[in-house]
Amino acid sequence: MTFDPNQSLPQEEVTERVDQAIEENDVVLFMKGTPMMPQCGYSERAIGLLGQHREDVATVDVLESLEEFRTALERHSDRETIPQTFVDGEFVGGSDILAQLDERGELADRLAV
Amino acid sequence: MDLTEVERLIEEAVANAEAEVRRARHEGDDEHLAATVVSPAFEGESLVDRHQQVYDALDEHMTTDIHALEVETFTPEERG
Repeated sequence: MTFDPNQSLPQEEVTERVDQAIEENDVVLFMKGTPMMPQCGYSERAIGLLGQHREDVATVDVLESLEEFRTALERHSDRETIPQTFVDGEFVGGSDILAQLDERGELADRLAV
Repeated sequence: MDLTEVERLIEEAVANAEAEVRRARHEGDDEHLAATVVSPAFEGESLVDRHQQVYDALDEHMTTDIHALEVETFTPEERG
């Protein structure tokens, strides 16, 4: 799969995909790359932390259309940075929040639906 | 982005905040940053809301000048 960094999809299509992924999944992670091939350290850290507590983490590779995914995600979380985690439709945070919740032993509860 | 400028923007936006910003990765990388922010304004706020205050302070710089920002927030009591 050759990767074209400036490929992009129509905004409406990406917005719908984001809204749907957040609504339909208990836990969804918007990341750069995939769990098998994360393309950024923060995304890798996030999927690693989530994977310790849940096997059913849905992931979306925002590199398919990065700017459009940033725009669509900002409507849900007020921020454009990646990765972003949503549980039960609610924004949980980026990799730093996941790590801090984990350090305090609160991550499992936060991911419980 | 200049670290002291990032600290200034955070301290200006978050009431009575003390911000310490450093490079999250290696020396030359000014785009992946980490910030530790202490402020009484975080009292009773969830992690997400605390972090949001810091992100809002840097709004127009996020993903452009600052590619990633690792945030840690404490109230003075939590900081000990």
